Amino acid sequence: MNDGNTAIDMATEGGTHRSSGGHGVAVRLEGVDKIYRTEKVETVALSTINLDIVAGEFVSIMGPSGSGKSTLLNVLGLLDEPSEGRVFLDESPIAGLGDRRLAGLRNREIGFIFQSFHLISDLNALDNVQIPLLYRNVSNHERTEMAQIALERVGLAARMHHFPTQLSGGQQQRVAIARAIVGAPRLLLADEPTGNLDSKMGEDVMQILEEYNREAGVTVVMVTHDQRLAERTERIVRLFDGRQVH
Amino acid sequence: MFVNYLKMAWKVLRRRRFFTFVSLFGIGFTLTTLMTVVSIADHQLAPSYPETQLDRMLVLSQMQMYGDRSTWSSGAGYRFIERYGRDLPGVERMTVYTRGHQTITFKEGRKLTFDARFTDAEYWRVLQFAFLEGAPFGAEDDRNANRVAVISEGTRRRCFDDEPGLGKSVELDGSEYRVVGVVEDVPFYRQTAAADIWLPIGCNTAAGFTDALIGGCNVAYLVEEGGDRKQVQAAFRERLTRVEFEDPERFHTMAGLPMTTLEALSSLMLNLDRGETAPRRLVLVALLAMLAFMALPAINLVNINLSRIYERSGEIGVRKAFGAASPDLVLQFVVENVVLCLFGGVIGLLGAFLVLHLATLFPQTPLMTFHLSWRIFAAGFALAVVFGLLSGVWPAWKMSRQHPVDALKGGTS
Repeated sequence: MNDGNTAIDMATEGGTHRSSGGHGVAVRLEGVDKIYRTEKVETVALSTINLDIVAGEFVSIMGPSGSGKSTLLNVLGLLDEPSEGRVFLDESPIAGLGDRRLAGLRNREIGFIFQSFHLISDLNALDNVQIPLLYRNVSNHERTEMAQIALERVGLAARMHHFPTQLSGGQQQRVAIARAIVGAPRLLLADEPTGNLDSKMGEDVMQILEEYNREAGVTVVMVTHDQRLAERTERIVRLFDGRQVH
Repeated sequence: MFVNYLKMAWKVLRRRRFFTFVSLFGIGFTLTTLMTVVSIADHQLAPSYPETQLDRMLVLSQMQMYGDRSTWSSGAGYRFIERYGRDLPGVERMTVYTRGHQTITFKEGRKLTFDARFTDAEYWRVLQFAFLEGAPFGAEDDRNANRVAVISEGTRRRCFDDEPGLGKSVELDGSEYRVVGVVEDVPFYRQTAAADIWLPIGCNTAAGFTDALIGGCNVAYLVEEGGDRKQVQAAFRERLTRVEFEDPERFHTMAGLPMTTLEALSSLMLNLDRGETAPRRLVLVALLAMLAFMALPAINLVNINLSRIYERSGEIGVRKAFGAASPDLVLQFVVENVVLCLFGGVIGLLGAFLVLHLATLFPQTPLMTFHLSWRIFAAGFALAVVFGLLSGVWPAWKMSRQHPVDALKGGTS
């Protein structure tokens, strides 16, 4: 497992990340089911998913709406627990971990990019990017420096003090990417990161993700509807009605 | 982390101005009311001019005389005090004085009404009046029933148009008194000291005044420095058992107790008799009443907070996704709410200051003084924090339990 301090050092040195160390499995799902139950209805969102994401890989997840793509991403990101099956992060099972431990893992190991950006409107770009660092033992000065480096990396050095409403969609998504990478996670999960952007902005975002995967060796899992973008990744995982199809 | 929560709170309050305004209005109004009440209570209960030794004073202001068929409730009688109320162990000094009565004089054909008290000479040693002119009357004046008077600054203004009053005469209820001293005005809520004119108790010619076991007088005992007031009260209770009644068929038991201000207030407010006191119960009732008064705006603030936090469920989802555990979020939202309430507390403090200042402008509340003491500041701070916790913890806890995926779906920011 990565630890907070290592990540801080690396980011301070220019945002480079340590490699995952060979080609071990970053995340493994074994027989994962996700079933949403109400009093009358049972909805199967994922069924018997077996999936290994190799460290350093760039994987895309495709499938029609409602096929379970986002649910799969949430399970991979430890935001949601499977109803059945097991999830391993760096070969360690995460079943039974408490709220605090899971929060710590998400904080150190995983970065999220959302389709609708999910920036906090009360905070400017610099403060938004600092959010993952708030839950680590990082001084105010270091935190600001790391966030500045992350914003420079996504080309937003000149917009640090802008609020989300003062930024274009593409710029907002770049802030969201900076927030996802500022803590030097080893796994980046992107849920349709280009879905709300025009093709030019979408291309910019895709290039940032590719560059980050290539240069920092970070594992990237991206949900997308766009076949052209998916084909640029190393592997496509296809889902249909919650099942993995080949 | 905590500093960041404070910064976040400040940013949220600045960015969400309408919410901040509505919340601050509610909190400020509630705390203004409570702090006004606390301030008045503080002025009643804390030592202040001229009752600067109030924390050592026990005042006997209410007594009862019981028979099989009747009860008589009034102040202490002069005869009772002389025979049973003096030389209590643990008492440094004591003073006997009457309750205030109205007296009139005429100036250029105009009727002027004043509150007057008859007091003994010790009164001026138990209480610490500031003399602007002259000096208090002494034991000799009391014994010889010399017609002398101490008047207040306000009385001097009304009678002598702010000219020096020393040596001048004032006619009260047909008798002429010579002014021997002028003191600074006393606020009306100072139970032992408040009056416009003070006269020697020996001048009180009311029929039967000196013969009564009950009626007309108060006694203030100044407990020795470091002394035990309980011991004084126990000795007084013992004296009550010695009282000899002229007509035991009619009255055969006396009750009453020299009390601290809080004890007297508890006896009055909780409708106790036979010299019973329950200051702790009174404080508890007062605290419960304050909590009840705060409950309504607090519930309102809980509602506002819930909808405000619900609006920010996207933020909760993001923070959880990036490593916040539920307790981190509870702390964040509680800090935000407490900061909001502390701002409300400042508004409440200023509001209370304004209300009390305005109150002094009404003729019904003359000479009211309001000092921003540390006690009121501490009370305001405590009220604001309690209010913040009362209205912040539950919404914060409830929202922090949101599942991160649901929270992210709920947010649109």
